[in-house]
Amino acid sequence: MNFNIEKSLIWSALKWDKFTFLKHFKKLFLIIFSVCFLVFFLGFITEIISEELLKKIFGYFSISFSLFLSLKILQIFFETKIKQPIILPLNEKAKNIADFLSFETAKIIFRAKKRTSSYLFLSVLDNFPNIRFIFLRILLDIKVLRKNLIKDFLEKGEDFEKVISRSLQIAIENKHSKIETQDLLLSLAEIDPFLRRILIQVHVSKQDFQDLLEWLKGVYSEKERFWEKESLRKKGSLAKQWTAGYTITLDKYSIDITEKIKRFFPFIGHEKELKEVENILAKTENNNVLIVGESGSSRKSIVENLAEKSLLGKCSTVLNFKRVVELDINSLVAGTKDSEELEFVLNKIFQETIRAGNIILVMNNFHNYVGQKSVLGTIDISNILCSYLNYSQFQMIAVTDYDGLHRDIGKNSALLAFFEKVEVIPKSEEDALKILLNRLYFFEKKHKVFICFQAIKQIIEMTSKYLPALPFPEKAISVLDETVSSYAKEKIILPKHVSKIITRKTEIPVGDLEEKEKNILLNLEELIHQRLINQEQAVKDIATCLKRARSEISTNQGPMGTFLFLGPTGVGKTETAKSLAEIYFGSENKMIRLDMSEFQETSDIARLIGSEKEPGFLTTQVKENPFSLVLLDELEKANSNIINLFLQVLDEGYLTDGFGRKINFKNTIIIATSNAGYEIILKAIEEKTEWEKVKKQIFDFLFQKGIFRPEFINRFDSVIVFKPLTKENLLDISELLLKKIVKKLETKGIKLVIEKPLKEKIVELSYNPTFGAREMKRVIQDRIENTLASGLLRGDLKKGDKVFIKTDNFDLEINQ
Amino acid sequence: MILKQYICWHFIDAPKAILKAWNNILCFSFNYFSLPLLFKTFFSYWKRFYFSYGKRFDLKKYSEAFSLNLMSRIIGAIIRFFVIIFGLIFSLVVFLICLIFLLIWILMPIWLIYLFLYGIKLI
Repeated sequence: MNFNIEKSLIWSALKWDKFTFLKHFKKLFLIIFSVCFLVFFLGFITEIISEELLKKIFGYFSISFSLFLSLKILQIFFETKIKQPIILPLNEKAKNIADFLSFETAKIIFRAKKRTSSYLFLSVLDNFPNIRFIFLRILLDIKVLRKNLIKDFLEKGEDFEKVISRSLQIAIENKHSKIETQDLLLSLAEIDPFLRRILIQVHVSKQDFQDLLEWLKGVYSEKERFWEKESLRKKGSLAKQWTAGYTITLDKYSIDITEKIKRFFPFIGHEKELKEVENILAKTENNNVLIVGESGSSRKSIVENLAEKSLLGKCSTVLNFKRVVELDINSLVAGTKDSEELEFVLNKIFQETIRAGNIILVMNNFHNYVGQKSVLGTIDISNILCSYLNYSQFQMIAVTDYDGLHRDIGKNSALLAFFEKVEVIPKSEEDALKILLNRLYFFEKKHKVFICFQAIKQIIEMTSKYLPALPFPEKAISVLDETVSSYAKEKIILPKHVSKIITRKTEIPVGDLEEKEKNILLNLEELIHQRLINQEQAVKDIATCLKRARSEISTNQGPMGTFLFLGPTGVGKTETAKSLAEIYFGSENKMIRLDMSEFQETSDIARLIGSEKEPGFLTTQVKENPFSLVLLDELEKANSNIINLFLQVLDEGYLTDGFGRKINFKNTIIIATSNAGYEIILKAIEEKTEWEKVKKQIFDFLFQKGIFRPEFINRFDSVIVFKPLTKENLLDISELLLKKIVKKLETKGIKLVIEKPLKEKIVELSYNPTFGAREMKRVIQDRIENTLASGLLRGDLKKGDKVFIKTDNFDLEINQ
Repeated sequence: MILKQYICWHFIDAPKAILKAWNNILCFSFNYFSLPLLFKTFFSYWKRFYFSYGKRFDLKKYSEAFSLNLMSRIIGAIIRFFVIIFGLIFSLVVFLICLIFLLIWILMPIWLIYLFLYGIKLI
C-alpha cells in the first residue's frame, strides 16, 4: 500500500494547522478595535478627549482592525482552500492513498503516536470532539474508555495498513469523495480489537454504528448560508399567490398544508411514491391521485412533502407554487344545518378551487365520504365530486386505506375512473430508524429525558417483531412516545423501558430472558405435566420447540411450532394446547380455536380469510393477536381446499387474506388435532402392538383414505400420536380434577379429604378407552360436585369443617 | 507556494464565489417580487376577481360587469406597478451592494496594508 502523508495534498493543511492558535489573537484584536472605536466615537461626540489622544486612539483602532480582518481572511483562506485540496477520484491502486484523506482524518492519523489501530483510536478520542456525541448515545463514558484503552489495549492494536485500506474501501462503498472520519471509524470498528469489543459489550452492531455515524454527520452538517440558492428559495415569493383567486369558503373549512410545512420533520423514504404523485398531477387529464395505504404508513407525509417541494419551486413547472389544502369535511358537516346547505357550500368550495387555479385539494379518509351508505350521520359527496373531477383545473389527492378502497370506493367505478392509484407500502426498518432519530430531540426536549440509541434500536426491532400488523413508522413513533411519557421520571430511556411497554401492549413477556422465565422454559415439561397426565413424547417435542423459539436460535421460516396431534378423544390433545397457551402466551385466552367441522365447504374459505362482506375469522384474530396459539380442532373434517390453504402457513409462515394482505403467522404456534384412525390405536393397545408400528399404520390409513396428503403431514414440525389413557393415568387425572375442587372449597374454609378408594371408584365408574378422560369429568360432576353443592346449600357444610366422601354411595361424612 | 495559492484564491476563487452569491441574490429578488410574472399578468384581474357577462345580452348587466371587471384590472395593475417598482429598486440596490463588496474585496490587501501603516503613523 502506498501511503505517505508528508507527500500528500493535505500535508500543507496539517502544517498550517499549527497556527490555529492565531484565532485567539483574532478575538483579542476584535475586542481592542471595538473598545478603541467606542472610546473614539464617544470622545469625538463629547469632545472631552484631546485631539492628539483621539488620533492615537484612531491609530490603535486602525491597526487592530486591519489585523483582525487580515486574520479573519486568512482563516477563511485556510478553511476553504488549504483544508480542501483538489478532489481526486478514489482508487485503491493510487500512487499515494494519503491524497484521499479529508483534513479531519489526516489530522487523526498525523497525531497518532504509533501506526497501529489502537493508537489511531486513541487519536480519534483526543482529536475528534464529535465522537463524544456517539459514545454518549450508546451510554459510554469517553474518559473511562480512554483509560481502559491505555491500560489494557494500547499495545494490542492491529496493522495500520489494514485499517487504512479498509477505510478506503468503505469510502468507495459509501460513494464519498474523500476518506472521511466516518470511514476510518467504521474500519476501526471492524479491525481494532478494543473498539470491536466495547461495541459488542453495549449491544451495538456494525450496522448500528454506521447508522449512528450517519446521524452524527446529519447533526453536524454545515450550516446553510443565507446567500445559497436553497436558503433563498425558502423565503418563498411575495406576488406569486396574487395571480390566484380568492378562496374564502374553502379557507373556512380547510387546513392549509403549505402554511404548516415549516414545522415538519425531514422527509424520509417514499421517494418513489412522491414521484408517482407528481407525475399524475402534472398530467393534463385524469390528474387526480388516490393514495392507498394502511393507516399509519405515513401517507400524509407524501402530501406534505409535495407541498414543500411545490413551495420551494422544486416540482415540475405546472406544480410549482401551488397551494396544497386539506378539506376538513367534519367541520363542514358541523357548520351546516342540513344536507341541502352542505351541498351548496361544497359546490361553492369546489367552484372556488377551480377559479383559484392554484389549489391541490386533499381529502383524508376519502372512503368515509363517498361510500353509498344510507347510515345516519354519514354523507356521500361522490355525485357532487364527479361533476368537478371532470375539469382538469380541479386537482385532488384522496387518501384512503385498502378496506375503504374495496368496501366503499371500489363499488363506485365512475368515481374511481377519475383517479390514478398510488399504493404506499409501509416504510422500511431503516427508514423508520432514521425517522425516530430525527424526532429524538423533539421528544427529549418535550419530556426532558435522554434517550439512548439502544432504546431506539429496540423499538424498531420489537415493533417489527411483536406488532407486525401495524405499519412503520407510526407504530415505532407511538411506542417511542408511550415509552418516553411513561418513564420520563427516570431521565434516561433504556431498552428495558421499551420492553416493558411492548409487554404491556402485547401481553407477551419480551426482552431479555428474566430469571423467572428462564426457569419456566427449563422446567417446561414438568409445568405442562402439572395439567397433563401421560403423553411424555408429545410434551417433550413441544418443550424442545419452544426452548428453541424463545432463545431465538431457530432459523425456521414458518410459525414458531407446528404440531399435528393424532389420537382418540379425551386423551389430552386440547388440554395440551390450552396449557401451552397459558404457559407460553400467558393466558388460555391467547388460543384461537377453530372447530374445523364448521369449514366443510369451499365457500367457507371466505369466512376463514375474509371477503368484502365479512372479516376473516382466522386472519383477523391472528392480525390482532399475532402471538397466539391456533388450534385447528378436528382438522380431518375440513374441506380439502381449506386444508391446502394451511400448506403456505406451515411452510412460509403467512397467509394472504381476502383483501390481498399478508397475515403473519410467524409468531404463532399451530396445533391441529385429529382423531382419524383412532380405531387403529385402540386395536393396537388391545393387541399390545409396538408403538412405532402403530404410527406407521396410522399414516398408511390416513394416506390410503386420502384424509391427509403426505406433503401436508410432512410440513408439520412434529406429528404426535397420543396414547389412550390407562387406568393408572386415569387415577392421576382424577387426582388432578379433584384437587381443583379441593382448592375451591379451601377458599370457603372447608377441607375436602381425598382418599385412594374414592379415586379408584371414580376410575371404575368412568373407564372407557373410547372416551378417555372425558367420561371422568362427567362422573366427578354428577357424583362429587352435585353432592358437595347440595351439602353447601343445605348448610351441612360450614367454614372449618373437614369432609370425606363415602365411596359406596358418595354421601358426605363431616367432621366438625 | 502558499503565497501563490493565496493570490490565486483571493483574486480568482473568492471573486467567483462572490459572483455566484450575487447571482443567487439577484435571482431571489426577481423570484421574491415575481417580476417576470407581474409583467406577464400586469392587466389581469385582481385575484381572478371578475363578474360574468351573462349568457344573454343585457346592456345594463353587461355595462355593470364591464365596469367592475375593468376596475378589477385597474386595481391589479396599480398594485402590480408599485410592486414592480419596489422590486426593481430592491434589485438595483442588491446589484450595487454586491458590486461594492466585490470591489472592496479585490482592493482589500492594499487597503489593509494602508490602514495598518496609517495606524502606526498616527501613534
